[in-house]
Amino acid sequence: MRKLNSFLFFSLFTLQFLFAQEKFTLSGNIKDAANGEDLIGAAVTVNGTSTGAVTNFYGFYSLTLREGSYTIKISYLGYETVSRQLELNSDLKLDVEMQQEEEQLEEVVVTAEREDANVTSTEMSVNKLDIRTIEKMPALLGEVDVIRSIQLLPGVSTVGEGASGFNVRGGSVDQNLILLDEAPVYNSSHLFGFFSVFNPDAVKDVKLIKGGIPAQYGGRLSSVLDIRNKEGNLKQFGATGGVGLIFSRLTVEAPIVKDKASFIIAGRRSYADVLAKPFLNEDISDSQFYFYDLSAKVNYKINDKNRVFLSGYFGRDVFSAGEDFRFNWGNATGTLRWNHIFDDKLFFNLSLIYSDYDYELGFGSGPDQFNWNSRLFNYSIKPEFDWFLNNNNHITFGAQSILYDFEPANAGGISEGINTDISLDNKYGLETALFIANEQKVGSRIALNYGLRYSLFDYMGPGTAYDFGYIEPNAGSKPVTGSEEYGRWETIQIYDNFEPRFSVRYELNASSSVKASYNRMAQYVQLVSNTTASIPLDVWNPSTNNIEPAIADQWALGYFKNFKENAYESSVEIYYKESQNLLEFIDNADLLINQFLEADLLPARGRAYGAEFFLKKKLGRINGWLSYTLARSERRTQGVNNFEWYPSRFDQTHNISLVGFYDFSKRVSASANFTYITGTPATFATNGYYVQGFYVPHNPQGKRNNYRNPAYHRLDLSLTINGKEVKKNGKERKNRDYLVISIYNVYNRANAFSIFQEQFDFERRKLQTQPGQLLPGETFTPQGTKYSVIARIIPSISYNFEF
Amino acid sequence: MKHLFYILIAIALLSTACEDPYDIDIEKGESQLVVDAFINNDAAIKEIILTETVDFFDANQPPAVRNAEVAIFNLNSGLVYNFTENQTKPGHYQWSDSTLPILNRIGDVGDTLNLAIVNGTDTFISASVLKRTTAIDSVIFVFEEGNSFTDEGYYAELKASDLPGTGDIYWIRSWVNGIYLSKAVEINVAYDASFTPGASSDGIPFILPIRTGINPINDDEDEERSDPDQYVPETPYEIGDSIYVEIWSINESTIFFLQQIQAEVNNGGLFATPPTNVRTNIFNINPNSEKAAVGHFCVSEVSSGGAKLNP
Repeated sequence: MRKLNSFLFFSLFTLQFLFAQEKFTLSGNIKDAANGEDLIGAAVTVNGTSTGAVTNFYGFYSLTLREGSYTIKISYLGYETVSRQLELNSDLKLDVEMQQEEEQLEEVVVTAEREDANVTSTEMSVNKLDIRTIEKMPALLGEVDVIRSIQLLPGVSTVGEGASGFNVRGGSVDQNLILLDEAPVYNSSHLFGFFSVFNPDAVKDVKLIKGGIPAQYGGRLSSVLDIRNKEGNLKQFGATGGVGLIFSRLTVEAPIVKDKASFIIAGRRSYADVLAKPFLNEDISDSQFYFYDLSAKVNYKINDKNRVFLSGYFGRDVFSAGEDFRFNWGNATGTLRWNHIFDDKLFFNLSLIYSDYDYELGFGSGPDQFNWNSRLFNYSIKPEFDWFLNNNNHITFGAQSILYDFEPANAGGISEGINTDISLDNKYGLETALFIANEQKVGSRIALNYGLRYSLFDYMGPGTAYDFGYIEPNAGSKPVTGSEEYGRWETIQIYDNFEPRFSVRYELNASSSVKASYNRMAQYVQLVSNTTASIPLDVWNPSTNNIEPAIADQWALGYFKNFKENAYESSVEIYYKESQNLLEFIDNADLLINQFLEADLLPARGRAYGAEFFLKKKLGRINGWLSYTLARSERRTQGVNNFEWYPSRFDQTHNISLVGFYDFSKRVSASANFTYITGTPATFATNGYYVQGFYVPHNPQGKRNNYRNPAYHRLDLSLTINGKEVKKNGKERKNRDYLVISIYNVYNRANAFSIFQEQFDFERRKLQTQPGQLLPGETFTPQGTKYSVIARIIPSISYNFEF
Repeated sequence: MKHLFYILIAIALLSTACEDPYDIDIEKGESQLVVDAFINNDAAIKEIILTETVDFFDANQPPAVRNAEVAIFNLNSGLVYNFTENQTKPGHYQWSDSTLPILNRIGDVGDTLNLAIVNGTDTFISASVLKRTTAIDSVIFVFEEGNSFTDEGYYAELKASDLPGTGDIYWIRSWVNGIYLSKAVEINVAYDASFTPGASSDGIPFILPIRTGINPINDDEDEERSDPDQYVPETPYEIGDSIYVEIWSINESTIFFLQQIQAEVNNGGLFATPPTNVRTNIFNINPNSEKAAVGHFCVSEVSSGGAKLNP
């Protein structure tokens, strides 16, 4: 199979050279006229033909045509379409700056990248959310949030409020590659999961890829969330900001050299602690409770062929109670990029990336204390070429190398002045990948996107590698049978994988198409997490001599149709995903600061399948979308559930989202969203017993996930009121401001995050001097308890401005 | 390190969270034999309690298992101790020898003891090593300034150290004003001087959370001192309050058993882990039998100490 795939790929690849012809190339950059931001995914089409190109992440496009005169049309969502007449008799550079569309109330025409991109693109299982759409949606406590918004898209779900991350097509949270300006983000949450770490004022483009994942991405099984931040206004100074209940935000951007260099700095900080301070008792006034993030970016256009970007992100959550307790965690990322245009067909980007996730936990002070910090940082280099070979072939190729340094625990305690060190060894890995992909048009109806990624993971020293003996799966921790020391850079274990990627589109007619895709993904770092919602203390762990990399194969098939001149867009997709070597855990596994963690892990197989239905109305005063997902996600491993398939923790059968926007007038608009998700599965004890006065829950059948939590549903509303655009004296205001009033959980439902069995009635017994059984006449009633993270309606208001 | 979760849960609860009673409709499971065999080598009467598991939500009065044969064999001395059922307390099997205190012990430190239970056609066995325990230097009261977690006042602290040499394991049990601290959250165990094996905390004073782990934990707001009839121990201590502490030597399987109980009973909330069964050290000698048992067997040496808060 592997060989066949490679063969197929290279034969297709060589084919196009045979048909290459002498033509001229039109290339250039597409930008926003107001601020000089590159427009990603703008469509450049030749009027009257199906020939066209789409701008890449840096706003660059290239189109090769025969000599002649053409009308070129450039269109982009929310911008006025631009038409240019041109005579092509040599290679030509055409940079275009596009004007944002004036909102016209009677007939709001929101132009798509290409109005029919849904049907014509080879991409499937891809969702894009415009940041302006995200900003209009009702938000928890009025805080616009990227990750909470994508949870309303088909195939994306969450295990509940306050759970960090998101689940894509039945995969776990760590199976999503979250990229912020190409740097991986290992924990995307503030406050455990209520808010994501991305500042909406700085975000320019959000793209979620759930299937048919292109070859330039790799390292995670389920999805890619590619977030690109703004570059900074190249034309003039600008500031945006807001005051909400949780955060205050301020973003400043300005040109350094007009049209050549600019910067942007965006910051947010929560201020619940600042507001609460005067009201706190003196004895807890040294408590800290806040989180912040800061994004910064500088870009410099050296000349027409060279451009550099430097961007960084720093965010942190801090909780502490004086000297008794301290806990903080955060990400830091940095990306240095160099764009180089070799010629009008070959675009090059080199990225140097740094990413760091760390946390610190501590108790006590002086002679009695405990401290623990853990870190994961990596350095990465990624050269990538975009080769617009001709109008039928767009080739992407490149490489990536990531050096990982895992520090699971630098930890120690002091007991009555005596130090103990319980630190664990660091672990090191080097992940290298080569990739090549081609987007090819074959005739007028068929388009292909095929590629191959070869990835290699080197788990290396310095460190100790352990060997474990066999015991019956899940009979306990595997016994350590031996260990070996390895030196710096010395290979402990190597894994490699060929990861073929393929997708095809067949256009049935101008308004409908069928698409199919396949991808194989390999994942060499996994999050060791056993909780319903992942926690900041969860540790990322590499593939080792005892943990094989996780592999997933996914097949998807979809039908795409647009109605009423692309006013409506609809799609149906079905998918099937098979995974190997997912992490499961033995009963009572000890996952934190455990030298022999590998002894407590079990490899599991996974399978997930489902159907996703999506209907979107793009035009008119009322617009929005409806999404419905029917899905199943299961796992199987020896030693759990009698080796039978059981639903995974993220198995949610039905998932419905309805998102609507309505413009009352130019100044007032409203939006609503409704979500319904089947409850997550749970495991419950069917029996109980008494030992030494404790009532112990017990499940004699050993069935995993034998219960289903009640369904989750919620309605949110929001109202946006724009400030007056005209001053009293009739002059137009330079500044823009708006007020957002939102109501989260409108009908006040206490959705269950989890149901659990509790013994809180187990009061102490009077006169009892010996532990033991219930005394005569005593009663004890264990109860079921529903735990809701958000149990009531939450109204909020925020004020936002731009100038 | 599982105790860390509770702190996180506490933080998460600061938000708009709430808990409501909820009716869980769950299938019923088969009942099994429950063995409660924690034996204090110094107790006047050694007792093993046999019951059956009950449906989880019908926890009152677990049925006693009657007419079983129960015996402990000391593999080092060769002596056999037959436990007989107390006719007034069904399911309670007892052994004692009142002739001489020295004869009322079932072994010496280092001895291996085997438990055998014949119940109907099934025979269950288990084993425990009688390990050494450490002495209590003292129990003291320390005045603490209040902070976000605790009120200002007197709290008890255990002064004791792990014995030199790794692998000593202890269960520290306490009674406040004569009331045993019986909540799972109050389980206080030590592996050497800290929580986990291999933590290189050998021979040092118990770490602070263990030294202060002898205090009651009251998470229910309705548990208050106000009603003298419903008196419950709580902190900070008032003048006249007393505390009594025992340190039981236990086996490695016992500390895991107790830590698992603590984790499973308190499992829930935002960071719940999938519930799992607590491992037992009681086995059916016929591996093909469908009858399994739950519970635990451990024989312990016990040291004790106490203090009273005087004006």
